[in-house]
Amino acid sequence: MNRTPARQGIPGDEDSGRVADEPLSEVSLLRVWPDIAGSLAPEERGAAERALLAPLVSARDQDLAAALEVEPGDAFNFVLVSGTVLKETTLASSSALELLGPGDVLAPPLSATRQLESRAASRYLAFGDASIATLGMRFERVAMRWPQVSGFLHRQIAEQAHRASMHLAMLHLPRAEDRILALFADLGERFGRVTPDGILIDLPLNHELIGRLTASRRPTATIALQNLYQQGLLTRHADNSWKLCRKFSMELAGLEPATSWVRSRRSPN
Amino acid sequence: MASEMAFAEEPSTEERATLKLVSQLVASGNLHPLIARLRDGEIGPESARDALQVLAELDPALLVQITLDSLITTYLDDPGLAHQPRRAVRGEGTVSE
Repeated sequence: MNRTPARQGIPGDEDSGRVADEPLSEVSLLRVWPDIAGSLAPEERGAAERALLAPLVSARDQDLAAALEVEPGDAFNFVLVSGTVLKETTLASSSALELLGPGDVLAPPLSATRQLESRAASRYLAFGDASIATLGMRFERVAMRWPQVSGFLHRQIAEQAHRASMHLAMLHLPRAEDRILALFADLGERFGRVTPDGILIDLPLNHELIGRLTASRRPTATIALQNLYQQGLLTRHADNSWKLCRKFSMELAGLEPATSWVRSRRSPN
Repeated sequence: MASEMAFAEEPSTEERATLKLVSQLVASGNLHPLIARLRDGEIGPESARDALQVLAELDPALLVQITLDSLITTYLDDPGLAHQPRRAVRGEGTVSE
């Protein structure tokens, strides 16, 4: 694990303090969240890009507890810059997994007291290589200067909360095949690349992990995946990437929302 | 082609046996494969439990249906009297709010 010390400075400070051939130790959040730039006046974007520099932490296939450990008040959130991270939440003898991708926000670990009070405990695990930026005091000052930035962060967190709710609803689908299809539809939207014969999802997910992401044990995931392969809806390539076939759609799979209030909202009348 | 990597992660011998049994249950739509293998001593109650648990995750409606069918066939004097259309039993098409 590689923790880079936070640079001192204030928003707009143009001294990067970084030597050109030094490995990347900071990233501008404007590159992680390019939509922020759209909310800023063009003449402010350069200053914002520099002001939004955040220190990076990198890790590979490991628990991020140590990497995300900060002094109280040092950092209030983390942002995944590249790679994927698994969030594992444990309650009693069960645990649930979520897959986070670039742009997603990671919460700092709970204090020891809060951990004792909480019924569920969460941890983050780097899935392959992952780089994470720290949102600390500097970000707070930037947000004071450009309130759009904190507005964007709130929207980002709200979007992530919606996705977690969607994942929760997906776990209530009774059939394992449907849960897996809904999972891959979501992954395709977030991580996929459209190709002529389907959506390529370059994530090395194994049966065990797919099972844990869909509240199924491994043999269940294996059988459900086998059925999906046979129906031609999903393919796994030798390099462990996945392809959701072109003919797949949530509607065709019968996974569109079926409740009347959703239908009435979507109706043109 | 579609199933080229289906078993790329080799299941253990026990898992493979469970997968085979679950596939037989799904294909037959009844509990006969499970009962036959229990009677013949090919599997024990723990293996049967594993298979039923996997089927419960895979398709709980199917598990309920084949269990109900099996109970009706085994315990009712006239199974025909208990006949219901399958879709009605599964509750499909009866979403109401």
